[in-house]
Amino acid sequence: MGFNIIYFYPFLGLFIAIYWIVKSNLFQNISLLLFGYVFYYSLDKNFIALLVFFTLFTFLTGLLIDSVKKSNKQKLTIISISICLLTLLTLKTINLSEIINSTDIQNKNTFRKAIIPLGISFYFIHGITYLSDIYTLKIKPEKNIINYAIFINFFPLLIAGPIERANNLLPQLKRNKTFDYHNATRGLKYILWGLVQKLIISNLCSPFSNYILDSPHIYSGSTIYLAILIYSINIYTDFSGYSNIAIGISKLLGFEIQANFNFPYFSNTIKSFWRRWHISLSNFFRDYIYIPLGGNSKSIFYTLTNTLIVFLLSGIWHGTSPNFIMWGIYHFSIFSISFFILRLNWKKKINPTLKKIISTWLTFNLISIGWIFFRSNSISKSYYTITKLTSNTLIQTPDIFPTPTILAIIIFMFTEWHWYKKGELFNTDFFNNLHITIRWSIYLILILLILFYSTREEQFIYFQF
Amino acid sequence: MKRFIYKFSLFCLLLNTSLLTLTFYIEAKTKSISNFKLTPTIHSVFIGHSHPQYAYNDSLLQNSANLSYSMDSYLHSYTKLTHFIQQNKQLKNIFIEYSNNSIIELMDKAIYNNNTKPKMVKYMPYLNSSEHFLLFKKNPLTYLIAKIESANIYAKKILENRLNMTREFGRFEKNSKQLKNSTINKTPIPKPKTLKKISYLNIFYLKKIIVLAKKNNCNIFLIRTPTHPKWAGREFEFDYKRIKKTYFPNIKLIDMINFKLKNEEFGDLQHLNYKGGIKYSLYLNKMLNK
Repeated sequence: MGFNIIYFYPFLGLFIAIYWIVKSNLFQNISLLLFGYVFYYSLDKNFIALLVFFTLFTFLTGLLIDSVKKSNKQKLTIISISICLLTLLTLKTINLSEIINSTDIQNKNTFRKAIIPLGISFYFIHGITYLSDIYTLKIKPEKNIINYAIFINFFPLLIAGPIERANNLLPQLKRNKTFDYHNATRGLKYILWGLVQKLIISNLCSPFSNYILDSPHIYSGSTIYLAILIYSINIYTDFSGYSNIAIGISKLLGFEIQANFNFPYFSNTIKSFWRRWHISLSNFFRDYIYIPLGGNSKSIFYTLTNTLIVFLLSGIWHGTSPNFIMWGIYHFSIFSISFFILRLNWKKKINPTLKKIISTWLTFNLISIGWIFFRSNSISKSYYTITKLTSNTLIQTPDIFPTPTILAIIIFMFTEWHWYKKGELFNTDFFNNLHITIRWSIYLILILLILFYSTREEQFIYFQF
Repeated sequence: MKRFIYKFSLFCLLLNTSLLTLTFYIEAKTKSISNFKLTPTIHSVFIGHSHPQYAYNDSLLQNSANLSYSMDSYLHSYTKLTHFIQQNKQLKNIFIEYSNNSIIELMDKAIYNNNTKPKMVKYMPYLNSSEHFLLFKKNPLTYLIAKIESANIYAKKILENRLNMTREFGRFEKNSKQLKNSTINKTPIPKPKTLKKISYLNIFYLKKIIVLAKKNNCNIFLIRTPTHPKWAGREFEFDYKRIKKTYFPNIKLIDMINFKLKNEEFGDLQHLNYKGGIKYSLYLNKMLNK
């Protein structure tokens, strides 16, 4: 039972009510842990033992790293992190072979569900960063197994992030939590917007984009172009929707979690996009890979080499199949080109607003083309889609034009633009100044729309990672 | 926290009220504009579950329509019949399947089990208040989910003006399967058994169908479609006859269970295939015309 299933919410409501009625911190933490395991079990009962085993392994290893002599700390950290990475890679590679052998999409999903433990990439990163932080003395190892198990198994973040740091989450688990009205209402608004993103917008986009991109040979370049743009909205609303729900639930439980998206499609450079897209993963790569490698402190060559490594690892993190690696290389390429372009001093003065609009649209298009690699299950299919996209059929009228979907996207993007310009979700002067009856009517209409659209149960795209 | 609880409860109350109002409106609207009109020449209808659905080829049966649907319980048959009778005053004869498996406990599950959610969704706007209450009482969660899904589906149908329900609730289905010799060989001949549990709920709705038909001056007949002699459902022959005698003593049963058919005219042990359907329908047509 995931966040996209409406029937999850009455259970969540009941749990949160019990959680706040009993004010003991110990009880709250135990209930969080148990609910987390039940939640995971309801989604993937096959691999709950792996989750428990991984929790115990990293917990004990963390204590061991802290207790051994300084000379052995490094060896132990490298060995333990290598074990984690090898396990992660093995489990993802096993799945890969199954996907390659299967051409049928339905089967592919079944295999994914059957073989890859749900959320493994996310909770493994939690464990790995924890061990690394102990070694670099950023944190002291957690001595309370319950607190640590919650850190790994914190149910709002368990399946698809955001990836949270131990030094942010563990202290919050230790302190006594008090109910905060404003935090709770903000939490509800995050959940509401997350559900709008996933259950209305994403579910509206996915049938069209999947239909076209699964059979690019049938459609014209213009139709494929439209499908790619719609897929970009689809993946954004799907993943950002999940993150918003996760942040909202965390707020309701009295936790502050870092944001995972900051309106990425309003970025006007590739660099800016990566600072706003899947922020928690980007931060992880920045802090644990890019900066330790030297970051941008040396020559341009080193900067670009480090960037390439990060993009390749980012691709591999999503999956070891060649299309994800190609997706990483593609992003490195457009990042490098924009890196050099931005270093050039443009003599011609262009109207700043126009420049911003053009660069934002261009960035969005470049990012959207990158999703072709991300979505396809082979390089050849990606190549074929791009060939078809760049053919002379690009200037034709699209074969299919999903008017309701496009209208919904326009309304959605306009609303996001409003949040982006004025503040955070549902917290702008314009929105707050509306009379309570109008605000509540908006919430009611959105919930009714969610309920009416929630009948199609479509899994979150990032569940496969 | 008190402020939050107060506001949240108030909002939930508003939400539920709006949701209920909207779903009731959609249901009422659907009910009022749905079209169940059959061609005026149709005077007889066949209703029931998969047995009649595969057996009565209504293109071979004069002035008849097969409105049966797989896994339909008598509650479903009653609901659709209410609307067909209302909109088709020319109907004279109602043939309702009364088979050995119409009385078994499984039929209770066919009414309110979780698996029957698609049926609940489909029938939701057409149910009477007593049926709404029954389904809610028996399986509240599935009922509420089905109610929302149903409102969603029928709202779209209203907007797209797609409420011609004449063939949506049942029709003759051509069964292309063929009973395998291996199945016949390994299946023992059924031995008489007593049913542990009987679906009194289903029987209750059969009674309601009879009352409905009589109230609208229609002739009602129970009919038993042919099945293979090795079909396990035949084990409950004693209970089958007992229930008929106890609850429906005055209703005529047209018992065709032993109608002569070859093995290749069955889709499986309990269903005719299209060949069997043709043979049986032609025979029945002659018989009814006499």
